[in-house]
Amino acid sequence: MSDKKYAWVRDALSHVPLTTKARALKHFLMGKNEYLPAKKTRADMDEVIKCALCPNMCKFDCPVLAAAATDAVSPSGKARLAYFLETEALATDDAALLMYACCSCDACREWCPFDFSVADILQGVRADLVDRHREPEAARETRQRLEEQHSLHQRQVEPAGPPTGDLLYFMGCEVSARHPEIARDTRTVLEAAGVTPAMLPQEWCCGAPLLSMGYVDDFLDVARHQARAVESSRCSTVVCSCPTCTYMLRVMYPRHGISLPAQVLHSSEYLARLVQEERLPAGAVDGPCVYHDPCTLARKLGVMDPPRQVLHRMGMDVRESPFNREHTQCCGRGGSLPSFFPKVADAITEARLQELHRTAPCIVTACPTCKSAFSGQGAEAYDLVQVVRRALEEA
Amino acid sequence: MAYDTVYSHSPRATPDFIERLKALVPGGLSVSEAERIIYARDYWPISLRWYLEGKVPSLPDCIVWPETTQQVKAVIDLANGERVPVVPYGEGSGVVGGAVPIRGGVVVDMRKMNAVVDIDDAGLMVRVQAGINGMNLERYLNRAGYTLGHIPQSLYCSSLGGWMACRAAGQFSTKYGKIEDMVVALEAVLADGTVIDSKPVPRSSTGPQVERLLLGSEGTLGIITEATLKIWPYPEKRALASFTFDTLDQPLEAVRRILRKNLYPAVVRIYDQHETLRHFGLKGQCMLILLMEGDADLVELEREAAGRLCVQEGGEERGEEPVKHWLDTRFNVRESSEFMPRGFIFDTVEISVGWRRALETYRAVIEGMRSVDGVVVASGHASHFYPQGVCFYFTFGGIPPKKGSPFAFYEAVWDAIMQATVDHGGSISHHHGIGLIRDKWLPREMGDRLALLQAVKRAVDPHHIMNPGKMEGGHER
Repeated sequence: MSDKKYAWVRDALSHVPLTTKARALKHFLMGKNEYLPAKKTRADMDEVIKCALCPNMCKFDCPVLAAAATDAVSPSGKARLAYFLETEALATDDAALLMYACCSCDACREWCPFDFSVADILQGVRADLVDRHREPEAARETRQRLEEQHSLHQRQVEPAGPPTGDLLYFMGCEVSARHPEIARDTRTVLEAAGVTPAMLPQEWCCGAPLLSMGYVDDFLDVARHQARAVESSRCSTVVCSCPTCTYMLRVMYPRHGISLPAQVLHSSEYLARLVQEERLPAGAVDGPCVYHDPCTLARKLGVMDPPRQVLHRMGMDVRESPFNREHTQCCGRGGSLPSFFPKVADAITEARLQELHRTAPCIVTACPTCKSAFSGQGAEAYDLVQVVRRALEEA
Repeated sequence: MAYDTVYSHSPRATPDFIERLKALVPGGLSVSEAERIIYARDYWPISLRWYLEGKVPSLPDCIVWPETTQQVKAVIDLANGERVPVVPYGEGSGVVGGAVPIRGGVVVDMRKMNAVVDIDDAGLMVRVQAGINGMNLERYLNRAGYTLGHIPQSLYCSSLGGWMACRAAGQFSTKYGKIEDMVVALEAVLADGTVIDSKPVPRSSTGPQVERLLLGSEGTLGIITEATLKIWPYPEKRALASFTFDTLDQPLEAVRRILRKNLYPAVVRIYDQHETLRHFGLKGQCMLILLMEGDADLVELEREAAGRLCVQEGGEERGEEPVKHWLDTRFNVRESSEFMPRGFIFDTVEISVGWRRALETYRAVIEGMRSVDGVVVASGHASHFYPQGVCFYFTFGGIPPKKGSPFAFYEAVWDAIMQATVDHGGSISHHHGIGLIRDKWLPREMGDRLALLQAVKRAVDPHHIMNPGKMEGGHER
């Protein structure tokens, strides 16, 4: 109560009778636990309740709501259902499934007076569902797949690189399964700049799906494995193609008490560094393109200028979408959304594609999952490193 | 533990009705319990307390998402035949319980009807479907070089249909007007299934503008499906100014004189001493903020002329910072989230009154709120102005006494505000509407006009299917 921001509360209390004042103070100081669930939760109930009581001020920018069109998936709607699930006022499968209706894009956070990420709030709720064995079947299947093959998808390309080098290249599940060309081009570009990339002999998924779906203990096992693997590579820099891998290795592992003995960079950051050091020649790539900011890269990691610097250096005519940088819109593939709500994910992709195509027909991004989303719907979409490789070829 | 419902009713839609309804609305129908819980409410603050107590206001039988006016008509026709209630739903941001389906039935979520149909640049009009979210409409218009000028605090979480149905007002209303000033024409499906549309012309002398009965009808006469609205070129310039005064009568007088001069700043807000401390950290002062926008030359003139009048009335110039602070924080709705979990009950109540009795009405309402046992916060600001009078926007907050229900406390404060307003000749609502909490005050507000409204209702909605339990003038919980 000494906080200046509550001066008005003190002022208000000075106008009321002593009994009211005493009651109000008691509630203000100690009333916070009144509506908490009886059992301890993994979810941050303070955040769940605050979000649930908000008038939904971020809803207009929620891509899942725009695509699914039901208020039950609006940010505050999900928090309200989460509160009922956590307090066991409600225990239906449909409510549990709705806790997975989020693409982790953090658009909500841009407008939240509390700076909440609904994805982060839901992570805890999902962990509680896991503890109660109430998670949806699709989550169990993903967990099993990761346990068996340590990758989200069947790999097409196995790591091909020395066990040690100037840096460790971490390609990620999406590249290894769906975009081996990104791994090849990354290697080509790095070598052209005189950098030898090492690769892990057995690269595991970064664990993002496990954390997102509420399998926190499994995620911690993965993070510990990665820390040992990075250490054994003896590299002091890790470069990831995928923003989500970067976010996990750089931010979420340390947040869960596991630090890597290396600096973690997204490939766009490393390429920008090479450009700055003039280790990559200027290019003259044809044609205009629109740059799509991946949500995790732009919002969670704050990386917005490096990919643009690289594209400019490659001579590309980069056009900006009206919804760019931290105001970007999700490609629909984030937060494991397609595992639970594939049609909603497709609709989000379609909406973003329409928006991007108003600016230019050719899309460049810096995330293999965004590339998959767009090319999966027939669009011309490239990863940043592919543009750099092409510029090198044409130089 | 299972949740409870506050307004109990038996299901009105039979399984056969649901099946037939599903066939009419390809865009979707849901009977999922989770979704029905979400559509059991709007943003009526007392329902937040219920919710924390494990209660939902009232479950609908199902929710539908029509995509065309014809589908809305089909839903209403079927419901009419089966006497099933129909409750329109925009974004669920109403604060008086207007969208709570207290008799169950079908909630019609208009979200999928959200297209901008046409922009008429020559005539400065936009044709748009009623389900569009406010911010998404404003963003669309801004990108095209226009503004609607309707910027309520709920902009991010409210819809055009909701604005029209409750006759909303935005923060920039002193210049751009309220939503009914912006509506040029509208299309609606009436309760009996008739589809009406009006012409997008600036004016016509062709009898009463009957379509305007839909504005403020709160879903009791039909569902508004499309509208043509006035728009404005995006303002060239903005000017910001603020002044503090020792007492509330001074800024009120300054603003009265500003409007009397035919000056219309877009934003005019006067905060009493309590709210000046809450929002600006200044003690013992009343803050007036002004925001002028539009043509660059006119904006400058407006600022100078308005500023002169403020100084003449004893205002001390405070510069642009307080206005910037307001602009930065105007969408930060935090109070309910911060205080409700601690057991406090909060609400805001807006009324309007002519200039002659403005100050005494303000004082009587503040006194009325304070007279209720448990009230801690009782404050107000004025946020919409006319040459004829002013809208006061009161905030109350407190802890319900140990004896009695939270609703009894909540209703007692509301009653105090309504009574003081009626006693002073004010109107009980400026822009939030009637909903559930104001319904019993409707006879005192409308007098004999209520009978006319009810006659219209009977004519248009003979089976009483549209949003039953609202605008009836006597509803008790």
